[in-house]
Parts: sequence; C-alpha cells; structure tokens
Amino acid sequence: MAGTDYETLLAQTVEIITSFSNQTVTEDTNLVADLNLDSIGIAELVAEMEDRFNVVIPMERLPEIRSVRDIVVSLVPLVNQERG
Amino acid sequence: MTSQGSIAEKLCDAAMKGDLRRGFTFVDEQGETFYSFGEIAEWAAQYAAAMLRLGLRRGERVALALPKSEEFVGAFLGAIHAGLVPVPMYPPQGLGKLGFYLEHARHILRASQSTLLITSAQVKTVLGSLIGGKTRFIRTVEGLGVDGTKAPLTRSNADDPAFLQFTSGSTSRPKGVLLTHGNIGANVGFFTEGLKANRDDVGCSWLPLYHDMGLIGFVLAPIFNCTPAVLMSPYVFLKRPVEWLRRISRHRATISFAPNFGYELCASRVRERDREALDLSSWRVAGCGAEPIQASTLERFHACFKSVGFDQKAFTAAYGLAENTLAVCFSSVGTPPQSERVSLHSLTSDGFAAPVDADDPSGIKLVNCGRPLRGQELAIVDGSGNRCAPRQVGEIVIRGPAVMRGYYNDSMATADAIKKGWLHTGDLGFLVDGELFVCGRIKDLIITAGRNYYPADIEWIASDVPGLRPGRVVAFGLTVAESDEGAERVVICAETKTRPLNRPALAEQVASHVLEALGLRVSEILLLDRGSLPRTSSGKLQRNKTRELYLTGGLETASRNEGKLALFGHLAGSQWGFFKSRVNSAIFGWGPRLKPQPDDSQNGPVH
Repeated sequence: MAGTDYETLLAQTVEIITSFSNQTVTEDTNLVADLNLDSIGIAELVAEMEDRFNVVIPMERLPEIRSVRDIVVSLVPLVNQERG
Repeated sequence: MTSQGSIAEKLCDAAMKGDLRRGFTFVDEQGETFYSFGEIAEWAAQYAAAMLRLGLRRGERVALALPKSEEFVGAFLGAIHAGLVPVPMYPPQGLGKLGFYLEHARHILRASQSTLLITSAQVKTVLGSLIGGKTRFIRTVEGLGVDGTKAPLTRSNADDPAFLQFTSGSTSRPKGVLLTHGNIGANVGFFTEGLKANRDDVGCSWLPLYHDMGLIGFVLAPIFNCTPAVLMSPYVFLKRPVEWLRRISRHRATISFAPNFGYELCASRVRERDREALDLSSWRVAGCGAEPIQASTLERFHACFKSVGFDQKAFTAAYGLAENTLAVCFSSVGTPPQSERVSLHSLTSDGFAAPVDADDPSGIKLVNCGRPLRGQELAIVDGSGNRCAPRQVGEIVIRGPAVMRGYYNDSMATADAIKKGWLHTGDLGFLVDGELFVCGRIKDLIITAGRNYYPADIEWIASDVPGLRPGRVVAFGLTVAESDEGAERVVICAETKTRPLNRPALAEQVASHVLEALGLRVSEILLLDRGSLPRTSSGKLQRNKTRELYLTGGLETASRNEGKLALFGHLAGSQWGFFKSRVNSAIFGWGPRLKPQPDDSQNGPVH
C-alpha cells in the first residue's frame, strides 16, 4: 500500500489526542474509560482529527470506536482515499 | 387559531401548492440536499405502502431509530400517511454506549408495544435480539423495500393518535406521551401565531428530530405552514458549531431554536476568522428553551455576534414540554430578553420572588418566559391546588387543547399528571404581571435547614469556580433516610477540566464559593473526570440518574477517582440535625414558612 501507513497515523493521532486531553495517550487508551470524553468532547476531537487529516469521519463509525487504535483503523482508509 | 387536519393531510396540501422552492434542505457531512414538499409527500406515500405490505393495521406503533434525517422524515410521515403511529427513538450516540442503548431500546419497544422497528443496518445488528412480544419486525429502510408503489392517504380525526413522544427522562424512565392530531394542530397554530410566523419565514435547526423541539418545531410546523426549513444533523453542529450560523447566513433563515448550551457552545467555540464571514441579520427569532436559560449565556452570545448583524431583539425565551405537545410560553417576540433579579434568600426560605436591585449581590437573575400562548391557560398552584399569588412560587399547571391525551398505556402516571383537565408539569415557577419565570423541577428541589434550593442555582454558582467544566455540575439532596449521617445532606458532583493536582483544595474552593453565594453548606463534593455525569439523549444532565449512581456507588467506579470527599461531614451531627424537624411539614418542600394565600375568586382552586 503506497498511502500513509498505520504507524504514521498512529503517531499523529496520539499527538493530537495528547494535546487535546492533557493526558498520556497510547494505542490502547480507551477514549471513554480513560479520557472520559462526553458527546461534545468527542465531537470536538473528531472535528480536530477531520481538520488535520482532511477527511470526514461519519457518525455511524462512532459507536464502534473505543480505543485510539480503533480511531486509527478507521482513519487509514479515509486518509488514503483522500490522498488518492 | 388551530389548524385542522392531520399531518399527512397538511403535507398533501403543501405538496399540492406545487411550489418547488418550498421543502426541506438536509445538511450532513456530505453537504446539502433539497427536497420540495411534493417530493417529501411522495416519500410518505411510498414508505406507507412498504409498511402496509407487512400487514400492519391502523393504529399500530412503528418505532423509528434512524440516524439519517431524510430516512427519519420519510418513515415518520409515511407511518402517519398509513394511519400508523410512529414512535421516534434516538439512535445510538457516542462511543461504546451500545450496551446502555440496548436497554433503552428494549424499554421503548415494550412501553410502546411497537409492531415494527425501522432502523439502520448497524443498529439492527445490535437490536436484532429484541424481536419478540409485540415486536414482530425489525427492518432497515432497504429491507422494508420502499419502491415506487404508493399507498392512498389514510384520513385521521382530531382525536386519533398521531405519534408517541418519549420524554427524555431527566427525572425518570422515559414515558410515552400520546399526542393526537388535534393536539399537534392546536399547538402548531398557537406557536405560529406567537412567533408571528408567516410564509416568508425560513426555519433552521440542528435539533435532533427524535426530540419534540426539532420534530414539531422544524419538521411539522413548516409542513403545516408550507415554509422552508434547513435541517442539520446535530453531529455536524457539535463538531463545528459555526456550521449552524453559516446555514442561517446562507439561507437567510429567520427562525431557529436551541437549548442554552447551543448558544454557549457558539459563544465559546466559534473562531474570530469564521465569525467575520457570517451575516445573522435575517435571524428574527432566536429561540432558547428545553433547559434552564441563563441570561449570561444570551449576553455572551450577543456580544460575540452583534458585529455580524445578530439583533438582541431576536432572543425569545421559551417554556414548553412534550406533555403539552411542545410550546407553552414565549417571551414577547421582537423585544430583547427580559430578566429580573430576585432575592435568593426570599426565594429559598419563603418561596417568594422578592425583587432586588440590579447590583444586589444576594440576588439571582431569572429570565422572563412571557405569557402563555393564546388558546392555553397557565396557573401556578400550591400543594393543595390553590392558585398562588403573584411572585409566589408554585407548580406550573396548564390547560388547553394541546395537553396530551395521556401517557401511553400508563393510566396511573396519566392520572398523576392530568387532574381535572389541568396538566401538572412538575415544574416550579412564579408569575409577575401574568408572565412566567421558571425555577426548576419539583422533584429536584433540595430542602435543607428549612430552606429550599433549586439545584440549577447551586450548579450555576459552583460552575463559576475555575477548574470545573461549566455546565457539568449536578447538585442534589439526600433525605435523612438516604444519608448515612442521620441528617439531610447536599451533594455536588462536578466534572473537572483536567485532573486536578489537588482535589481537596479545589473541592474546598467549590464549597466556600457556594456557602458565600447561597449560605448553603454542601456536605459532599465529588470531583469527576470528563464525561462521568450521565446525560439524556438530548444532552441534558440527568440529575436523578446521577443521584441514583451516587447512592449505588456507580459514579466513583465510572470515574475512577480517588473517592468522595466528605468535607463537612462533621457538621452533620450538629446544625443539620437541628433543622431536620422543620422540614417535615413542608408543602412540596418549600417549608413551613409558606405564606397562606388570600382566598378570593382569582385565587380559587384549579381543581
């Protein structure tokens, strides 16, 4: 795959979420249990990610996302589609 | 003035007018799509045909958990077109909340005895197990097989059920409010007149469509009045609040409503460079309702957006509830919001809203919600059902053609709510010159030391403390029986902005701030991480649920904080015990010092 790989996106995502939440974030960090984001906090974070990667994360994805890993897994195809 | 005819008939009327510029513009992440009322009427007839093919009979309930607004609107209007009774449900939201959602969905399906649930493919995989009992079908829109076949319109009478609106349950489990076509026609007529709405108006809303304000205010009223409306997904708004204001600018919208937090979010999150491109000069009615209105939020919003044409006169404070279809009172349209400063001491100890000077620090600012809309009666009553004098706090009761038929299949709850034709709202308020001020919910009232406190007051004051998340504070009282200290206690649960380095110091700050402002000693302060406090589907904090979680220890587990902080526990045995006996004779709860009411014809019992 020629596009952006998982590891690169993971590093960028961890950086965004760390600055967003002021907490130590890893691949396994659970957004609900560890960062305790409410619906407004989540929407704010999603907007931040969308702006950074120039993608749209559809609402239907949200219930499936629990960890930082889940976000990155969702992002990989979206980012690569965007960068074509 | 009330409107005759069912929603489906009104949609056919709107379609017949043939004006291709009037209809709904749906806004999601992909952009905007417009459909005329003619096209929407076709959807309704097609959805109706698909539902009837399953063998559903007139009056059967159809639950709808559809995240896509177009599908929701099509299925909702289709059910009514077919003579079925739609039951809007909220779709799963947020991250990893599917377990809780399953329990909620089970409750709604059972309470509404829905035959059919229409939902998305994703939700269907989660809710598939709920089939059984009355629920015979769970279908996606695709699985329903909506095609070009159209069903004829089923005519309805004013007394026929139109739909079941499940209340969002800030104080109890959601109950199904049964609204008739007559209820809806009446209330839409009343608030259309109250807003001085006409054919030139354009609505714009990001409110969820499963919620009464979004559904009745911005889907049904535009159909009744044949006015265009822009319907934006709440998710788009939460991600980028400026999008709401952009759509108002672009579509020259004139009427838009939001709860207080929507205005707050815009004031705090819209960036200056985004603001400059807005033009809010078309916005004639900026309604605020559905949760307590804070004058300070409206002031902040106005300060932020006056430079781009936002007129303060657009603010319209609204009071309403699902049990009265939607709207009860609006502040006067076209005048700036009015608020009044009243003595907190007098409000808490006598249940009397004594006016105080604007600079009096012991005063509290309450927003004027105006007079009841023409066609509806409103009164404030005490615990015996007698009308209260002006400025005396009591329960808000309402009578008129928009009062619900009752709670579906729950005659006990209905008998509690509607007495001799008057709907008892459970909300506390007072009247000044016939205009309503709302104080809070009866069930939430905190009675301690012979005084009554409205949780919203305590919450707003605690929110001032830096380090707490504004609007993420819940206050409640514990009775002697619930308290393990043999006295009534007041508890504050608050989410903090970040994990504080020194929790006890922050908690102490909150306690002394509340003590200074209200003279109230808080016995316990729980500082929680972001997102720990439970919320309703529409984002309101759930006080009762928080209280319940607190009592069962669920809050601490959820937040993993280092434990509760009993700050003033040692005081409980002394002062608090002393005051206990004074509370027992309270009427509703505002204590033995309630002034007796003069018994003239104006103040006679309402039932």
